[in-house]
Formats: sequence, structure tokens, C-alpha cells
Amino acid sequence: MDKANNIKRLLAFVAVVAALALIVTIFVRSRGGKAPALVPRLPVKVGVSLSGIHFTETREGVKKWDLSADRAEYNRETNKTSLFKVRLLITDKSAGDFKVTAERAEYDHATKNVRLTGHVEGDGSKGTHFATESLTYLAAPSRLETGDKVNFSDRGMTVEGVGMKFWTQTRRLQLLSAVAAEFGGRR
Amino acid sequence: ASTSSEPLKIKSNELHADNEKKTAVFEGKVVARQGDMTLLADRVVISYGADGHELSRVEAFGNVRIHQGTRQAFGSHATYDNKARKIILDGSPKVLQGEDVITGKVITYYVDEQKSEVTGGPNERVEAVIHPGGKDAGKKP
Repeated sequence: MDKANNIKRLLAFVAVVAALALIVTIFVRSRGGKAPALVPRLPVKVGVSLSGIHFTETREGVKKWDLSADRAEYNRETNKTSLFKVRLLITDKSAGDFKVTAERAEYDHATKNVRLTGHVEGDGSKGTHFATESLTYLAAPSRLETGDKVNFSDRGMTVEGVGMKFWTQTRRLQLLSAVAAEFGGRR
Repeated sequence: ASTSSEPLKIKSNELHADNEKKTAVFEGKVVARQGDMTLLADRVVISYGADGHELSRVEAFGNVRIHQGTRQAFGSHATYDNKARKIILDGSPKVLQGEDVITGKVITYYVDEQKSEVTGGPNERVEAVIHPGGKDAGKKP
């Protein structure tokens, strides 16, 4: 009879040890530290992902603009580059430089147009300033356009409206609707 | 009350501005306000100085109407001399003060004074209709 009891005790002991071993293994596995984070596989469409990117557009030997960003992703399918934390510097000898900053942008390699979105602000070297939510830079006519509300100021005049066209070379401005302007009162 | 030191505020449907030449053309239901004076027109052209204080030219075209207190003025064209604080109206100009009316070829409307000057022409003689004893008796339109 004693013999049977001993066997039972032995079996029970073995079962307990096995359970403990299983628990320890699970515990170790779960705390065993993550595998080193692999570089995230790029979404299939993105061909190239870069940081600290800089584009320059030159026409007939004259630099037209500089486009730089903290990070960029080139999309093979659309032939466009998405940019993040963007700075667009449009240069012109007579009209002076014009700098536009935005959170995001999309550069079309075919048309060379740039679409900027997110806290878009423009500053001209001759005192012009504007702020809007989105903006398109049309490279061929060197024109900035938006359909959004825009606040625009140039020494002497502050104006807001909805929809804007601004020619950076001639500094001509067109506001398309809901215009409200103010000129300083006489001193 | 003198409105000379107050800003000129303008609303319109559209704006075309040339920041190089410092000119701005406001088009479509233009409403321009300075102090207690309001000018309405189809189109207003502004030439402004570098700091906006020197408005060297304010010209209104088409359906020009001016409202200031009990005075009203009408014409098809007006030029506003911001320094001299006067508006020169032509194109069948007319100034009303209460029920009193003056018309002529050109009317010079003084913004800070209750005063207007009328000049006639070959076909547009000066004409004034004054209602004696009217509410604004004694006040010049």
C-alpha cells in the first residue's frame, strides 16, 4: 500500500515541477526583451524615404527656388514627393526673395508645382507677409494660389479675403472674395 | 468729430493690388468707412504710402454714395483728398441735408465741416432746394 502512495506522491511532485517550469518559461519569454526594432518596412508605394532633403530648381542658369524639408518620401506611382516641415525659398533679383513655410508639402516632379498644407506662412524680403491653411506654388507663372481664407499684409495695407493669387515676381495680388482691408489712419 | 486719425477700412467682393506700385483696386459692392463717414461705390482705387498712413489717392467709380450723420451725397465719380479732408463729387452730384438738396456740375464735400461747395457748368447750373424752418434750419447741406 505504501508503494502505491509513494508513486502517487512522486507523480504529484513531477506534475508540480512541470507546471512551475511552464510558468517560468512563459514568464521569461514574456520578459525576455523585445527583438531590436527593425527599420519599418516602407509602404509598398514609397520608393525612397529620406531625411534632410533639398531640391533646387534652376531655369536658364538662374536659380528659381529652393525646397527643403526635414523628411521626405518619394512615391514611385504618383511621381510625387511628400515632404514634412517644409521651407520653400523663391528667389527673384528684382522682387526679392520670398520664403514660404508649412507643415507638409507635396512636390510634383512632372509639373514642378508644390502643394503646401498646414500653417502655411509666407514672408517677402520687402515686408510682405501672409498666412493661410493651404497653398499651391505654380512654378511656370511663379504664382502662389489658395482657395482658403488668407490674411495678407504689406507695409501700409492689411487685408483678408477668401481665395488668393500672388505673383511673386511682380508682387501683384488678387483676393477673390470677402475682402476686408485696412489702411492706417492719418497721423 | 474729427475722423482724420482713424484708419480707412474697406470691404469689397474682390481686390487687385500691386505691392510694387502700392496701388489697390477694390471691386464689387465696395464699402469704405472712416470714422462716422461711409462711402459706397462699385469700384475704389487706392494709392497708399509705404506705411499706409499717406493715402495719396482714393478714387471711387460708379454709384457713389456717401453717408455721414444726416448728410448724404451722391455722384457717379468721387475723389477723396485724405489730407484736405474733402471729397470732390462729379457725374450728376447731389448733396442732401435732411430735406434740403443741392445739385450742380461739381460738388466739394467737406468731411470735417458741415459745408459743401457747388460749381455749375454750361448744362448743369447750381440748384439748391432749402426748406426754411426745416428741422435743420440754418445748417448748410
